[in-house]
Amino acid sequence: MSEELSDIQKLIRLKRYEQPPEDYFDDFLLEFQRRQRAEMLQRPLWQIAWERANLWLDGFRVPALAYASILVAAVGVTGVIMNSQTQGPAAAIASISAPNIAPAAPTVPVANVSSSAKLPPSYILEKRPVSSNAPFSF
Amino acid sequence: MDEPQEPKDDELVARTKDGDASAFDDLVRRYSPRVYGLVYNMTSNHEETNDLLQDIFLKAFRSIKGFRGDSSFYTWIHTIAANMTINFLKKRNRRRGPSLDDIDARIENDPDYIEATAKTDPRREATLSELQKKLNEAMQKLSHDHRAVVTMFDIQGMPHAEIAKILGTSEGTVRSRLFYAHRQLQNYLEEFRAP
Repeated sequence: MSEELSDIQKLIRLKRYEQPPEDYFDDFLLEFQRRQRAEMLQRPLWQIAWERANLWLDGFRVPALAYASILVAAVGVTGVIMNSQTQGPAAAIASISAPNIAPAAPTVPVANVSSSAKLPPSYILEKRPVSSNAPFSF
Repeated sequence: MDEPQEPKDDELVARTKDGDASAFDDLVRRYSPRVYGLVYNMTSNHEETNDLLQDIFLKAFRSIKGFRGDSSFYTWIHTIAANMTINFLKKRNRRRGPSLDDIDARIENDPDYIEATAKTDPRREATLSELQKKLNEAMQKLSHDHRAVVTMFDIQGMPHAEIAKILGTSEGTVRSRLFYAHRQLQNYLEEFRAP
C-alpha cells in the first residue's frame, strides 16, 4: 500500500516542474512595486489614522470586547455633546433653528391689498394684484 | 563565501515596518516563487495565480505591522496565501478549467516522468501534456483542503508540522487529509502508475 502511495507521490511531485518563465518573477516584482507605491500614495487619511489607532491599541493587548466598549463610549460622548447643544439658551436655539431669511424684497403696501379684497376679482400676474392703482410709490 | 550575507527575514520585516518599502521587495523576491507554487498548484491556472499572488503580497505588505513574529515570515506569508487561495477557490467554484498551456521542458528529464510515460506499456504512453492534464484534473477533484495539503507536502516538500501551522490545524489532521487525498489520487491516476 505504501509503495502504491509512493507511486502517486512521485507522479504528483512532477507538478513542481510547472513553473513560469524565468523572467516572470522580475516582471511580477515590477508590477507589485507599481501597485504597492500607487496604493501608498492614494491611501486616504482616515485609513492611515485608523491603522495607527489599531496598532496603538494592539500595543496594549486589550481584550476583544474593549473595542466594542470604546465604540459605545464614543457614541455616548457624542450623544451627550449633541444633547447639551440642543438644550442651550433660547437665543441660541433661535439662532440655530430660525430659517435663513433672505434680504427683504420691496414690499407691497398692505392697505392696497386689503382694499383690493373688496374690489371685483382681478387677474394675478407674478403674484401681484393687478389693479388700476400703482402698487408702489416712489 | 565572498558574497555578502543576505539579510534575514526578521531584519527585512523590521525595516519594512519602519517604512522601507525596498526591504519588502526583497521578501517578495525571496518568497514569490514558493508562494507561486502553492497558489498555482491549487488553482492550476497561471493567470489566476498571478492575480492572486499580487493580492497576497499586497495584503501582506498592508498587514505587516501587525505581524508580531510569533511564527516565521515564511509560515505567515504561506498562511495568507493558503487562506486567500482557498477563499478564492470557494468563490470561483470551478467556473474556469485549468490552463494547460505551460510546462517546463525540464520535466522530460525527470526519472519519474520517464518511468510514468515509458513506451513499454501502452497504457502509459502519455504525452507530456496528457500527463499534466491528468495530474491537474486529479488535483482539481480534491477538496480545497486536501489539495492544499497535497500541494504543500508532495509538491513543495514541507514537513507535516509546518503545514499544520500554516493551515491552523493539527499534524494528525494533516496526515489524515494526506492519506485520504492519496487514496483519491490513486484512483484518478491509476493508468499512470508503475505496474
